[in-house]
Amino acid sequence: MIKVIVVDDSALMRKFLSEILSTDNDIKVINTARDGIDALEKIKIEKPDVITLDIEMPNMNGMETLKAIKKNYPKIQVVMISSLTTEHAQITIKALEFGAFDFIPKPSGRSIDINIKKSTEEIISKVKNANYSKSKIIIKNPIFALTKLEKKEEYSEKILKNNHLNKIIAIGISTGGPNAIMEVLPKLPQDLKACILIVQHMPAGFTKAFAERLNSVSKLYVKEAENNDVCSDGKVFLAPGNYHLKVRRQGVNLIIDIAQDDPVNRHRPSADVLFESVAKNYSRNTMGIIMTGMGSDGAKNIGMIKKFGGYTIGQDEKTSIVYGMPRVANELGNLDKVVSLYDIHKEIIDFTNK
Amino acid sequence: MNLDDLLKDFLEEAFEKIEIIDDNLLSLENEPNNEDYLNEIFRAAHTVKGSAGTMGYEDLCALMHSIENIFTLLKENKMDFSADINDFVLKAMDIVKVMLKNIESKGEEGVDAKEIKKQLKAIETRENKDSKKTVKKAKSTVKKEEKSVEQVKDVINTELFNIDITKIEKDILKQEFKQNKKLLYLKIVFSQNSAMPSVGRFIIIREIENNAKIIKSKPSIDILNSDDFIESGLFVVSVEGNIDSLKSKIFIPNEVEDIQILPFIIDDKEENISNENKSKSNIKSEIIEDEKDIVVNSDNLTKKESIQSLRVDSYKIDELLNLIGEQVINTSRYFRLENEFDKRLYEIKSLISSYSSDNLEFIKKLSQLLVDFKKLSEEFKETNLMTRRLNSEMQQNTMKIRMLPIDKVFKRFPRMIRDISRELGKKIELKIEGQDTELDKTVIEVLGDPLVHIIRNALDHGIETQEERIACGKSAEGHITLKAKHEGNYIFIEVIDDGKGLSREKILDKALQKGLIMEGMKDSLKDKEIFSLVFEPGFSTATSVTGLSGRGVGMDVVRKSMEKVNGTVEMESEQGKGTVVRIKLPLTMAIIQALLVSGLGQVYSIPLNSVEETVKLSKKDLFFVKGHKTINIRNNVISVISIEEIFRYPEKEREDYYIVILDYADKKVGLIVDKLYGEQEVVIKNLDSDLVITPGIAGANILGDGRVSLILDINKLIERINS
Repeated sequence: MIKVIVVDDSALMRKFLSEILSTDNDIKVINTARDGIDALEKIKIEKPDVITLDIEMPNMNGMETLKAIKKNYPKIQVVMISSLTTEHAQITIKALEFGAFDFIPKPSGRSIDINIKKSTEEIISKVKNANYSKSKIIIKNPIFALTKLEKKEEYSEKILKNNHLNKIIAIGISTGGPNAIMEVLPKLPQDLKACILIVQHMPAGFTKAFAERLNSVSKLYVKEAENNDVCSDGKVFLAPGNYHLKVRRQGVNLIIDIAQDDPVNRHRPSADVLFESVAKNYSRNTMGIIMTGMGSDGAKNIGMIKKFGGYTIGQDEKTSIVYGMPRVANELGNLDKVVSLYDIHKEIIDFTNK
Repeated sequence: MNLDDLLKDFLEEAFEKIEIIDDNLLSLENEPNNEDYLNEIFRAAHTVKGSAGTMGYEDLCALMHSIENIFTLLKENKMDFSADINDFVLKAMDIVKVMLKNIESKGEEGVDAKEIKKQLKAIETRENKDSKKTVKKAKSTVKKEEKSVEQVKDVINTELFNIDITKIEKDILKQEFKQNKKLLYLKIVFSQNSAMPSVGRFIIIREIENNAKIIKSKPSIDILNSDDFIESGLFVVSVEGNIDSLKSKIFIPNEVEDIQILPFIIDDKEENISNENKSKSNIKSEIIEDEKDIVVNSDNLTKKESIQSLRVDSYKIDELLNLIGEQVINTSRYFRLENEFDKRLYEIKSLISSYSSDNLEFIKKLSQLLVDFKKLSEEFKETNLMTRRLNSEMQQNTMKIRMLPIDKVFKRFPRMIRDISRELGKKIELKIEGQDTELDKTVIEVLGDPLVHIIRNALDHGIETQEERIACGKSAEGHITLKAKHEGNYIFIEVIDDGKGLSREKILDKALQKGLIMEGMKDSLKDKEIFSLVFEPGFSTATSVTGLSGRGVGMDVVRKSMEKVNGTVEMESEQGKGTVVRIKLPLTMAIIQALLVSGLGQVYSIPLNSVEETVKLSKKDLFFVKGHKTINIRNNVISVISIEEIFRYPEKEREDYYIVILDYADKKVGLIVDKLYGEQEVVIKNLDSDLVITPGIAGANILGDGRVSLILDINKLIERINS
């Protein structure tokens, strides 16, 4: 039985989340709290497995609460409940760096029935995953010491003018992804001879904040992908939430193509879509990386990269928060190599230097 | 998941948060830099936005989002707070309230908030532009800013249709509504292609009049019939028949561009809000498909409001629970006593049957039994005492649950005074004291409107203009104090202003003119009596009629509503210095102290607050003045009436006269009864409306022996006697 405490200053949200979670037989909402202070008191006594945490609360807000929980009870998993404002998306991304397991966007839609239907599965699966990966603390130091890089603007001017493209690195990643990517990207050099394309399963509204955050901590130029962006060395494009990320040829250039085609594997963006597209358009100069995440999105089509002569690797079980996607890819025989999270950057650099 | 529960929680939370926002908005106006207020508002708006999103109310969610955005900018110092901005936000909050009420009654927002959202957006972008402006561009940006302010004003003038409904018109509308007619707004956009617009409009108006009753139009019918260029007209109408057929009849090709129809809602309580409702709703007529929807009127709304659940401080329930717990324990003692008694009785029985030779043993046993019985009897008495104490405490505590802080009423006034004083151009400071004072829920509900009226009077007629004040040597800023205090079994509410006060002469002249007093009485009246004339029906001191008060509804309405809850109202005033209106209300509604008397073989209860004293006189003490029985008490001549006369029975012959001297608004009347039983707390039960409503009977209560005692309504009685 997974013991959950719901923390939210809105009585309605407390009830909404509690009732949704209670529909699952493996989850028990043992208590609710109205702010951070209340939550910490209740955590002390009731020892929950997972906490859902609102961001905007009086007395002690979600971020402060998260820090306190992670400091005193590192084993308790926290799922953030975030609304879709720019400010909250930024806080949410920060929260992931500070050790929050994942987040759920606050439901909003045309009717309560639809909202319940939409949210139920997501909320329950995220709480379950959080509990499942309780023992896996891959972030050695939850409070990231990454500081904003100052000279970034000069660099990006140079990068932006450069249209030369050597290699394509395509990454497919899901649950536990933000922190894993944060582990990899900052270690890559500014003169990396490749363009990186990332499909991270994340709702619309948050990908932009995530891209901005990644940009601020890495030497590469990171942005949320837009139509007609040109792939060139030193750039990283993150698939926008609710859009597929693909590439197409335009003369000598490889151009970004984002589209709202039907979801694949119930995901949009889908890693399978990205892998297929890069394999067909850039064949053997492509590296496919499949990383932590539930399910099997990308596991099939990373094989196309391999088939077209590219190189494919998967994250190992030990460092994956959820060993789903890389496991399936490996079982299908679609991977050239299985590596630890901490070695992925080396694999990338080696590939680009070939 | 129980969606109804969720909806209830949502509404409760939303209303609560909106209150928080309203309060803080007003505080913010006084201290624009107080971050606490900004944060509170931001958080509350954020919560409502989130909940509305979850519940699927997208319009409300979007509106709250705009408000949240403005406060994000304010918080981040990207924009400065101003009364101007506050006006818009307050307006938006009013719409939010209407949306919530609609959600509560109809399950949907029912208001198109496009306009206000546009305005909020305009503020947002205008202010953002501000923050981005550089010194170089300063000049042009200022120009731009002016323009955008103008644009905002434009939006208000042309796109929001506002219509003022006067009191009389509202009464007409209510009457129409009672006759099951539908009340509608009709917005007609006249066609630009009309060959003769004024003739076209004449025909349109005639068609409306053929099918509906026009209660108000904007612009007026005269203007509509003139040759001026008029883009559109707004009508408030009542219709008996089908709305679609009305619409099709008015829709005259080449003359009418568009017709928008939406229900008109009469809302007494929140006039401002209903104004907003009227003006902001822009629903296309197609929405009104189900005609029944339209009949969901404010009567329904208010009814729903008054049966709404009661929010109770949890400690009050805890106290009550404790008492009930004690009572349960106490009751178990009765069981034990029952057993003990049974046992002793059995022993007595067997003792009696065993009575034989051994006298000494018998007596020993009997005396032991006597001792036991005495003990039991004492314990029984103690338990009984305990039960009585617990019962009375439980009763008191249950009464307390019905008590709400008067703040529920008071909190609407800061906003009201702010709005009105801005409108009147007077500067007024409001002070509130004793907002924690608790009052019965029923009283709280009745109190709102009268207080609004009193305060409006104070604002409109009491407080002078700044120039007048300075000329009198007063501070430019007027002061109004709203005070509540608890004294004995009563709550006193005072509205104190430091305005120009009441004029004795003006009141006397007016009273004379209205025939309320006679010429000769002028000099003999005391101040108190003169001021009480203000409460007489039809009296109004306002020489000018403004939109705010003095609309023909005088203080008599205030007095009437206070009487409904056993309250009284009086005035005190000193010319040039100010006025105090004092309301006295019983602490609780359901229980009153009463004097029990008998007459006509019945027991009657007289509310103690109207009993001055009781006297016992003999027949010789009675004398007649113009055929009326009177008595003389300490040189005061008081007319008396017997209880039989009240109920139109022949008067009984008596030797001793027990007379209850009743006091009501400084008039005294004696009531002759058969017997005086003494004081008692009585629980008021309302008489079923099926029962004959006899004037002079306020309700009934059940006596200790199960008999019913009628409660006399002294105010009505005295009115009857006087007439």
